[in-house]
Amino acid sequence: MFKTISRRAVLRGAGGVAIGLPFLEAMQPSRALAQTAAPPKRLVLWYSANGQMPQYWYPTGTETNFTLNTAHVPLQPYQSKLILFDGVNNDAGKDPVYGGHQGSFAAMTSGMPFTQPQSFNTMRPGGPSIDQLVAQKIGGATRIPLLPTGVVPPGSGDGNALQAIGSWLDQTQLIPPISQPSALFDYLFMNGTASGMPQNTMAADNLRALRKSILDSSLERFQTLRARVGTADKVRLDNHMAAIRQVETQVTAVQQQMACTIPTRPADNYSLLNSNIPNWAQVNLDLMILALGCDITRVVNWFWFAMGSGGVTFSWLGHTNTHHNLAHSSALKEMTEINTWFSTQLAYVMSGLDKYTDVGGGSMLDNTLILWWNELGNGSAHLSSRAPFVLAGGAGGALKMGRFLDYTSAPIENNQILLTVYNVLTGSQDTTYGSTKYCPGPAPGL
Amino acid sequence: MKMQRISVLAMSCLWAAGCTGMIGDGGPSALGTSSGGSAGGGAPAGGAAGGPTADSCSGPPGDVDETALRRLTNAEYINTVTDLLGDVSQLNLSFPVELTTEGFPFLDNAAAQETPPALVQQYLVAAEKIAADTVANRLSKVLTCDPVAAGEQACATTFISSFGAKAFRRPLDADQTQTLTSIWQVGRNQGNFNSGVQAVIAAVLQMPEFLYRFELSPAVGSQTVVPLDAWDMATHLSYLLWNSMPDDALFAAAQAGKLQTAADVSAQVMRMLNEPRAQQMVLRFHDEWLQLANIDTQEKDPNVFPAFSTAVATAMHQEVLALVNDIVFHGDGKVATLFTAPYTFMNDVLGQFYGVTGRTATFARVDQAMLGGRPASGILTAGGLLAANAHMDNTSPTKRGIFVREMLLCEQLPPPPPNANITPPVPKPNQTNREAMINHVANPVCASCHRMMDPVGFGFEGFDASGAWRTTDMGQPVDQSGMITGSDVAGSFNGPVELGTRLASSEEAMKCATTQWFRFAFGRDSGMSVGDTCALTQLHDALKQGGELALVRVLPQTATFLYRKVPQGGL
Repeated sequence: MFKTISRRAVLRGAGGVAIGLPFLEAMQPSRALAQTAAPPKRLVLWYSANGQMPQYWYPTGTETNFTLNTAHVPLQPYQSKLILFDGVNNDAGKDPVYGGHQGSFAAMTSGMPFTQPQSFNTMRPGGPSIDQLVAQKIGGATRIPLLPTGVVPPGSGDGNALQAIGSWLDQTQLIPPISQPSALFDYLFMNGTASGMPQNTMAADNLRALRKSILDSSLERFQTLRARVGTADKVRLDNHMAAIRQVETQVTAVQQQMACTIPTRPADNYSLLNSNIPNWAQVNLDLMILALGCDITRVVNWFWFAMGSGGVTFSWLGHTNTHHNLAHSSALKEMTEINTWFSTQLAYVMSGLDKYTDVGGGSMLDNTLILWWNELGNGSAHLSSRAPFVLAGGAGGALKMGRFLDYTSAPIENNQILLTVYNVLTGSQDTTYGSTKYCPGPAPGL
Repeated sequence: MKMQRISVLAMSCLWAAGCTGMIGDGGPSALGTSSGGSAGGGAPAGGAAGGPTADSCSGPPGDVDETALRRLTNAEYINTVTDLLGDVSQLNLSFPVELTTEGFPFLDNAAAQETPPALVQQYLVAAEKIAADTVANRLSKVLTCDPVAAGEQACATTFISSFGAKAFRRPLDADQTQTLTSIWQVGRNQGNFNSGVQAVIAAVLQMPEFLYRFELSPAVGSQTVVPLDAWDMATHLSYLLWNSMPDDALFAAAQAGKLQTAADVSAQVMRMLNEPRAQQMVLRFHDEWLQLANIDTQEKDPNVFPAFSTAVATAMHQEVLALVNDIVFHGDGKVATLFTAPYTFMNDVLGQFYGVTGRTATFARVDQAMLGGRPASGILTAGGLLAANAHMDNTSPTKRGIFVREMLLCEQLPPPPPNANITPPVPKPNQTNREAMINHVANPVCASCHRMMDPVGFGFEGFDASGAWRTTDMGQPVDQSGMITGSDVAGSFNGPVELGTRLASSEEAMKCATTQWFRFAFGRDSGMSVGDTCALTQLHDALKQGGELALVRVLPQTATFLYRKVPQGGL
């Protein structure tokens, strides 16, 4: 069994120096203006596949006095920082035809019916995932507006690129998770620093100016060459240019030098074997927590394995069959163990965020809303009803946590929860989310 | 980035030995014999393959499909900067993993190439690291003038012109020259002459001309099908055959106007094919086609398969490459042989796992008779493919069937019917996997798809989930009888050798191998134009009559390769 107790050890560098410091406290002297401001809000989208076993997932009790079910036992220490749901349907996920994993997946965080329904392999999202929408509003304050990461074993996307990607702007712009540990490290700590900049002010100014000059020139060249290519390739070049503009903003903005202690860079040949997933996950989870803690990003799309879990077998729990096959065979015991394991990981993230003191003195966890999503309700039957959303952490007081909202007598749509989440994180007053057809308004009572 | 493990095989290049099966009327070079005259202003001749379609496919094509704009793959990026600027292996360059799509297992699939911000950032970081490293350690590789003697401006102009042309694979135009000169000036103003050089290198490596393979051959008048000019030709030849940028000889040929006729191109192709990089290209094709990288990450339940290990998986990957290498470079290179070769290759690690004694650390051929009952039928009996298409603790006739159907026959399997309850029955204890799967297919909803996959996979039941040979399953003798339906070689068979015989005579399999080569070479699926149709026919005929090397020699003669279509909405 995977031990949670020694996990902080990973945050120690090669010399054994603990780096789990209160980073934001260290930053505060340079953030005099921020002292009086409200703490920023953050979003972590948290995906796991293949649905759940309802009898071990849904709590019992009332809205405010409820008992967590088996799959959520590891989250008990944080019960007051959870919202669980029942009676949430993802009807966009079966529009216009049965969507299986793919259609439900594409609709679950976009709230839009999927496109290209002719085959499972062609299905694409009909609109942006919620992390992208939230990042467009609040991501610009940090170097990385949105961090797509997770644990995606090699080959998980074989057969369908969407299978290994949980973040997208539209049907052509899929943003894959960065899951190889050294690549994730390099993305977060550009040039080995949290800011991506040299310490010397003049060198940093020069580098910013040069980067701006180079990226602007590159964009001009893209624009010139764009005229030569066909329609489909224009879209690809446009996507590339949009990415350059985002990176240009990230690498040329004058930002606070963050007092963030950088861990040791993971090895390029870090083992991505199935049996090493618990260790690999710990490395990436620690990097993700650090990215939030160091304020390198405020929006994370965390992705476990693949839509349908790819070929992952929970061998570290003693399983010999794949997660996907177990879901199909309604293997109650194993499926519950799997979702319990995901809860353990989530509890770890919550405890990691809870250690950081946020702007204004509270816990960073209370300003970080984690949305656990899954493309299916009942995994074995591949249903998109009873979609298993869980909210964890907090939205800076904008959501009352510690509740179980049972909508089974009057089911609501996933869009309605997405609308509320979007509004509370971005300070918006939107009245609909995704496809209006599936969004009569914010989730009542949420 | 996917790592290829081909170098460990240390194979010598034996193109000449593979040249026995020639297409058409043969000769020292298939390309050389095909130049039926350069029609139309020095444009290279199109079709060349023998056979009934040669006439209709020769000469400039009436139409070709639009080229797919390909970004450099991660491997192409590394190869290219290495050729351009020297060894960068110590710089810790990392790029997001590349993804493949359904039925298209190749990494250069233009339509599947995403460019998210993370990749753009890594391009930026890589460019800055490489530029700094080059200026610090290998400046003389790119800087041929002395800024003191020649004057800074003059030397910068020389450098930008020569380095820029190499990096963009075509002489710079005025706009490009001006852009790079102003970047040199920004760098220069921040430091010294070399700072300017470093800035130019960092900029060039992020420019679209470097990262993408644009086709820039100019169209004349209202021309819609344009013959490639020498620079596009050099670039396409180089990435097709070497997975990297053109070398000095190709650039020199392009500069001298020596890439215009079929004979010119032929001479370059023959030169290039004699390099080890071309051999690696052929092996890489098979590596991606058969998804051999999946073997590396195989793990099996140690309680069931204690002998299986990462070292065994690594050796199994090498086994397939060694077998392919032997068939293509020492044998007849025929698709049929890929499915039927009665031998394989092993080292000591694999010998121990398969139970074959007397093996050494070097991979060497082992014939059927020495395998102790394990059948050998080309790639079909390769342990790695059997292990990669299985579960941790049990075989998967479904996965093995899908592999045959999708990868070897290029079929697209349909999704389950709408609103199907696709929950399989819970297996009973002491059933063989075959029995469990037959029950599974008893459900008519499941059967609609599984009857296409599982009965093919049943033919491999003699191999357990670790790829080892077995004669019993759950105490019962293994039943290897299989059935292939809905194909041109439909019918029942017993075991992989009989399946191999069927596939060897399958026109569908031949067409599939042709399709896979087309995708690998051009980064897209073939279209409906006469150019693409002719290309497929020529490649197919070459593959059928002369084998894979004959196909490789025909690739650069096809209209798909030699011409570009002026794209809709483009120039």
